[in-house]
Amino acid sequence: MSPDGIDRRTVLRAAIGGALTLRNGASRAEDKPPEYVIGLVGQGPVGDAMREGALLAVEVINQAGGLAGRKLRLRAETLNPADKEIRAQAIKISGALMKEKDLIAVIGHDEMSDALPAAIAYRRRNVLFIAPTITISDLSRHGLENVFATIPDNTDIATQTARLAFDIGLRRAVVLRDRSMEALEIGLAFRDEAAVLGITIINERSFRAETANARDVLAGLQGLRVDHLLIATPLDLAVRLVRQAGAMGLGLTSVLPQFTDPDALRPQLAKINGRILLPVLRNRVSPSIVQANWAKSFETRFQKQASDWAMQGADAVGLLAHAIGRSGTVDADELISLLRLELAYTGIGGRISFRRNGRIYTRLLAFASVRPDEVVYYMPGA
Amino acid sequence: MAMLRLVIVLFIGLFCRIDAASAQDGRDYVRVIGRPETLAYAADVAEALVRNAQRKYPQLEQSSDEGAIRTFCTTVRDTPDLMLLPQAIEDARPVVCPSLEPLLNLPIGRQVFVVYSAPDAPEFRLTREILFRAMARELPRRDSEGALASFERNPNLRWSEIDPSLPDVPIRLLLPPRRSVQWLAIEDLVMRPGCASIPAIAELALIDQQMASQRCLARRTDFSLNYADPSAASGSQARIPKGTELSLNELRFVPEGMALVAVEGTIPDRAAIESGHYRMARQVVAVVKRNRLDAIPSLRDYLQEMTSPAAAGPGGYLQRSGLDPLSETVLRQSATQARFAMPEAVRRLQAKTVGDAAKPDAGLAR
Repeated sequence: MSPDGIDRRTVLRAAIGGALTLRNGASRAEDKPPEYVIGLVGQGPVGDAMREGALLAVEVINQAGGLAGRKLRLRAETLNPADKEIRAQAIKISGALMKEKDLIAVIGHDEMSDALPAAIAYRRRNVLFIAPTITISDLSRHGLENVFATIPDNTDIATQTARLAFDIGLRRAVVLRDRSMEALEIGLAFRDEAAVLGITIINERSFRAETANARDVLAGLQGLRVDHLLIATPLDLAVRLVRQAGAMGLGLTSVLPQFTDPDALRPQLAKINGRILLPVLRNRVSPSIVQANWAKSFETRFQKQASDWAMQGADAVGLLAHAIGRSGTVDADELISLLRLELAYTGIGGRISFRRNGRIYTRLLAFASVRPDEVVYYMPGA
Repeated sequence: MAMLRLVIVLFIGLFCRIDAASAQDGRDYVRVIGRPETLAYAADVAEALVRNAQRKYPQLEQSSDEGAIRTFCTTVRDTPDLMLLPQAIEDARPVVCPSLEPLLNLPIGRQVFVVYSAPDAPEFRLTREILFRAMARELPRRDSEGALASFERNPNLRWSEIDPSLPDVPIRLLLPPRRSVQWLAIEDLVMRPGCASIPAIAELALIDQQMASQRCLARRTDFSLNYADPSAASGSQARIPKGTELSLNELRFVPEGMALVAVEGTIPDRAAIESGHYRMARQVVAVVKRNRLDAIPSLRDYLQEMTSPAAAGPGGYLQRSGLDPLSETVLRQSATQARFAMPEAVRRLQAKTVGDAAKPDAGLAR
């Protein structure tokens, strides 16, 4: 017996116990299955927000035990928008991601220019590609079975926008669009829906976004009996057009069929007589209970307000987890078949099911009415 | 011979199916359009279907009455298969598209709004015009008449100022959240009819519909109207009126022990609601394109679920979303139609075969 009351047998027992514990620990580490990898490719603030949303979703899933006994790991890559070779960058990054042995899907690629070459590369490796931010319909028209877009396309956005315009009593429109493919899609879909509803398109003007002068674009509109402008062009030019319309004394409603933060837009409007209507992915003033809880978790985790793009990132991960949980496999063919033919998943942003071309069709958009001094939301009924 | 007829019926049925399916471009999900206040029912049915079987969600689209009908009835492209439309009970006529596409009009339930008070509150005898006069932002000046009447800010602060027979207490109305979908129904059931019974506004409507509509729907912004908190869960909308306060809300939100107030002389009890005598109620009708019933996957299942007792019957999940159940007989008729209705060509041929062209689908099914 030693002076402090610990005999040799006790020490020996403790040592053996410790060694066994260590050995068990080591063998558990050896048995631990590798993580499933989800790639995420983004650029700029949208990419950052999407990454944070996806990361929070991955953490929540891992805390709950992971997927089929395996944890998830998010591998985030950033594209440099300053680099003009965005296509080459996208291919390089997708190549690097595909070296991951347990890669199950890639989320992101904010622009069509890098999404399409990357999607083709992912298709060759049979990796799922989820695009939460691309609204160009073209993405879903190439027959790439692995591509799923979780945001409505421009046709859907323009259709829902025309319906809202009609429902609030607007009947005479002028379409102002730049000469991009995206703006053309919006203009045509708005025109189609307007024809069904009985909105008259009084005039349609197209211009080069890079060189457009707001005064020239709007010249002559004062003489027309018009109650709203559909403006399909990048946000900075759209805001200039709205402000110019205000300066010309046109107290019109301007409809901007693109997703942007209404609270960030409001201060840019200066003093305009009319208002801006734009689609939004969620109502920040009175969100659903699920959205409110998620936004709270996001703020706790990242010490900042959650954006809609973060919600899109989170829903992309949630969608994947749901599909894997339901099919019981990470086999891409099984998942593709499930997602295209029978998936019904309710995420933070709402219900998700896909058309056979991989585009979401279930998102009922909310709209924000933005004036210099207030933002009011029109919410969908379901 | 009978065999030959059967073969022809089956062939035409198959033809209709192919024809309707090709028109919808191989769509494998149901499209539903409706007014915002009816879409919650469509969503509940969708959730129930998805819970019970592995299938896609339907596409839910929303618009105003006019927008929904135009979108539903257009012939220039793929259109919704089903439309949910609220209809005034006294003016319920089947929806007909200009293209005369065969439609089924199936009533599925009712939306009922009531005014209630604390049990010890004084007795109120209300009309929709009184309620409008209590809620309107502006009213015609008492000394002006006709379409050119001038309007003033609502001067009524006490119920007795609207009608001397009403209690002499301040106007205090508890209402659904300011921008909730319930307001769309209140506008139709209370504001518009109440407003139309004021001669000056009725005359204004003849020359400027838009201006009259603005006058009818604008609500006062002073302390007379109190709104439920939109961020609260729907159950807590059931604010309990105290003292002389009145509350106007859906029937489902009336807390236990409250006193229902008569409107147009009718207390909203079951008999008055079902007979159509109670005016602050309307029925919700599911209008479906008959030729698509078997061509669009899940459409018939969706309609059957929507008209089932588990959904639209007493205690069904749609009642929790505010759809008051119809009488058992009416709901059963809708459910039978949902189950047995056939594409128009098949129906006609089969009716001809049986020798009774007027016989309805339900009769054939029996």
